[in-house]
Amino acid sequence: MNFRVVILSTLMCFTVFSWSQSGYLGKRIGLELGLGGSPSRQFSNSVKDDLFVSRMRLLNMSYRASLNFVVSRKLEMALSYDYMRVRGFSDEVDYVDRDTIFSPYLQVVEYRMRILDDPRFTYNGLTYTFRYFRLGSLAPIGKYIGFRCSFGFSTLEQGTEFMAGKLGSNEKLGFLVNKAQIGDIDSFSVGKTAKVRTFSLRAVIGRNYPLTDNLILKVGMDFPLITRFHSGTSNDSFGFQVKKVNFSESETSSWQKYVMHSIRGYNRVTLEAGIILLL
Amino acid sequence: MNKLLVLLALVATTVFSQDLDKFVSLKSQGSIPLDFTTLSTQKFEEDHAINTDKELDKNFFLSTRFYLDELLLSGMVIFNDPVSDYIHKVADHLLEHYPELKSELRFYVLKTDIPNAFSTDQGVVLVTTGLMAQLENEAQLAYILAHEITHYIKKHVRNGYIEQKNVNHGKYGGLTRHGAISHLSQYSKDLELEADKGGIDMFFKTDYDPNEIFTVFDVLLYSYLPFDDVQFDTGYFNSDQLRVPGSFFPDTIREVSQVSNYNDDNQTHPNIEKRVDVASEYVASLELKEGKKFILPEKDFQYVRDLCRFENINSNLTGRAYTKVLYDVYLLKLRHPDNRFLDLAQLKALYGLMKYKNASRYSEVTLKTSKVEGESYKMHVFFKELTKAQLNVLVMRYAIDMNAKYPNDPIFKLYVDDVKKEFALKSGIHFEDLKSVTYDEYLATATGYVDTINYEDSISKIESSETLSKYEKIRLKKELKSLQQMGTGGGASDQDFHLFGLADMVKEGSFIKELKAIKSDEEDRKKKEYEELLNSRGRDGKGTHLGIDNVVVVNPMYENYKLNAKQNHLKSEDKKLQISEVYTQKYDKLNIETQLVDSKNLGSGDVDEFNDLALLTSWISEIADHDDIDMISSCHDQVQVLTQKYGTSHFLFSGIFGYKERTEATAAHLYGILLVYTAPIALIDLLIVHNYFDLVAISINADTDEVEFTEVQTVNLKGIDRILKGYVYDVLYQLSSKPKSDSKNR
Repeated sequence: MNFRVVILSTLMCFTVFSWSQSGYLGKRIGLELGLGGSPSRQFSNSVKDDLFVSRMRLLNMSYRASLNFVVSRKLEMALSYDYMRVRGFSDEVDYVDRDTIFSPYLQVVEYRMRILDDPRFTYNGLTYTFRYFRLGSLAPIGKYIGFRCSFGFSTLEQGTEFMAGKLGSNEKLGFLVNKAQIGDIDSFSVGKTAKVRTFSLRAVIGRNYPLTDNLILKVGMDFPLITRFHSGTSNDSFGFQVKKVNFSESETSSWQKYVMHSIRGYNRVTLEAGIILLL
Repeated sequence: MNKLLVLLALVATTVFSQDLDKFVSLKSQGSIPLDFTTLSTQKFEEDHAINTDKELDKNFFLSTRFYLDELLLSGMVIFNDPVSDYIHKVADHLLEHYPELKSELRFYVLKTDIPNAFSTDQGVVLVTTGLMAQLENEAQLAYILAHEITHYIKKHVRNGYIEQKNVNHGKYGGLTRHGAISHLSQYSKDLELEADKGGIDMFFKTDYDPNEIFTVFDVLLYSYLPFDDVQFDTGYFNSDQLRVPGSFFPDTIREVSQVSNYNDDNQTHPNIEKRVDVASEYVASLELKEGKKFILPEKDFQYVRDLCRFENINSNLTGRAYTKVLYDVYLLKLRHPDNRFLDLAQLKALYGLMKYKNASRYSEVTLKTSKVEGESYKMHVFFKELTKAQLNVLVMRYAIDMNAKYPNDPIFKLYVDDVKKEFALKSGIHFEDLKSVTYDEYLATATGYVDTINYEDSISKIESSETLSKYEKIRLKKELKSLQQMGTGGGASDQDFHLFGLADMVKEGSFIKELKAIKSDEEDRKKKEYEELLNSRGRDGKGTHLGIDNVVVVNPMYENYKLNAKQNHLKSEDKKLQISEVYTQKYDKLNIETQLVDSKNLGSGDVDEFNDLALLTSWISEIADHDDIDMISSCHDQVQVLTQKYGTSHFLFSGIFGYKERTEATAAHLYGILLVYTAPIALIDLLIVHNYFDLVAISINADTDEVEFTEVQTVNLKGIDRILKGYVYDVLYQLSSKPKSDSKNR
């Protein structure tokens, strides 16, 4: 039994054993569609009109569908499905292409390039949220704080194309966007599917406004408390310590690190908004 | 035509011949006047729109309209009742030469023991039952009305408001706080003297006796005393079975000390001496004439005054002034010796004193004896000196005697049952100490043989006894000592008079058994209650589940306050109407029927609802004052009638109070600012205005007079309609939902 099971079962027990509630006008079940925006400082790279464009992702969007359930006058729990289709971050990553030259002697040449157009990958998650309505608020209306446990699956598919190369000399650096002429560019594809499992525990804070008798507007934010990555058999765990990652295309685990690095970028404070339909 | 007049006379006689023996309370009758049914907002808007007085601002109309309406709808003001009708008749005579004023002015009665009368800028004149109870004749009432009407004619409310505004705006230079109060007090006193003179002018145009102008001042001077000052009979509480020793009453009383030239600094009215001086001087300048004390039949005045005196008993019972009630009842019983209302009122007052003494909260329901003057002093001292046990016996005796006097009256039975319970659980009396002979019988038999007892020998026998328990020895030695003191003329057994007061009951045998059974049942109940408490989980999560299917929602309140803590009257009234609607809305998921009794939804024909509201308001106020003392409310019998009418015994009182606040600066904010990075958060926290509302909901069960549900919450949200709806729903949900164990059983 690991700590995730302990946290989850504690939250579940706490909610289930305080089973007595009125909900909003008697409605305790809600279907929620929500948007999450995670502000970041990461630059994601792309190639547009033969120019290298490195743009700061101010808000990385995610999407959520939830089933919310009021379990007591002050408590609400929710089960959610989260989806994200995002471009990876390689601003601190070099791409190294290895080639073998059959010259008078066998020589492996390492050609260090920069990723000029980041590959996209998907994130699918299941989340259990527990909200405590505070300062006199009654679930599901008003101000809340709580916790959120997420189990996520990120997949960078085999064959996903990306571009790497060298930049030209006249690089224009900006606050939000960097642009540069491309010196050398080549197209590559991901050799093997990279899968990363994520577990995160996050703190939630926000408030719900009733719009009609059946609709609620939710506005809030959450903060990461604990994040753990699992990359299949390798079972590597990096946390937040890694600053610089070197990898090569042929190593599956390296792509996993790339995905982890990118997920970490998205895994900061998240602003969220949603509409809840009460049933 | 003649027949019609005869019929009218008969109706009038019927109205005035209401049997005081069947008195319950003064109630409004007929159609409700517009003063009560028009919304305050409408009054404000109409009066403000037609105002041509440039000195009067919006705030004047807002405050005066809303404050008066709050009073009119408080349940304390009545109309079309015999007292109001009588005042109207006197006013009609007074205003014979002022036809315009006659149509402008409206006269109502304010149910309070405090002697007072006042008029407003809107033409409403209020006279309290406390003042009516003190008056000696119709002419005195006429002069008081003339004085109040002069306030209206001379626009004193308006002038006072403007003067206050001038002071606030520094028209008289930089007055200190004391200077400002002193200035306004002097201004108010000048207005009073002007009203006195104007009243005299009006009074002189009638047939009333001008001498009564001066007797009114005497009435006002001594109005803090009961309506009469009659020597208290120390045998008043004696009965066949109970004799209260005269030594319990003081030999002397505290003399009436009020003088007419008291210090009137910072008061709104000049002292009586000044008023008499000014009035005398003014009357001397007028042509003196003969006059009458009564123009209407004198018996009408006496009847109306009696009604007010009876009603004041109700007010004082609600206000828990029990000793005051007892003296008033004593006075009224001199003229109405066998009056059911007075008998019941006396029982209620004694019961109240007993409950509060047992709960060690006696000081809340009586005046300090150092502040009591006149003949009622003896009664106040008597009840103060009585021990808990003595008072419990006195009340038990009276309750049993009244139950025997009114055997078919359920309210007396109810009191007897509750007094027994209180006696068994809280009197502190050892039931074995109660004697089966009366005090007189005991004295007669005891004094015969006390001289023959050898005390020393008896005590040594008791001490050396091997069969007696420790406690029996102590008890027997005490009794022996008491007999010894009786023999030497010590009279110490006066203190034990109460032990003989229930002799007839003790003799029956079943009484003591009944008391013991009550005690044992209560212990079982407490044990069960404690176990339930241990088994229950936190209330915050569970809420309350009463399973009520019908509730009367009584006058839901809403008050909205601005950031400067001033009430936003217009918004408050508007929101109150919305909240009332929310309570009466049908909720599919709730199995509860709500009936609304609301002061802002009254039509001219809803006088019964108006009276219900008045009763319910005084009921909740009394129960709130009792707080943790479980007792029968003084209006229990009247509220029971309402439970029949509405088909439920559950009454919900609720209020929402919306306000805004800024976070107070603390050391944490200072550190936050000094840390630079956290400065924006600290500043935002200080600058941002937080919205709050307090929700209070209390449901009372009229069968038990107990608070069955309480919800008090401070919510850090803006009280927008949809949010408030959610909270109202939650209150109704908690009332209607059934306890979990019940649901399982179903």
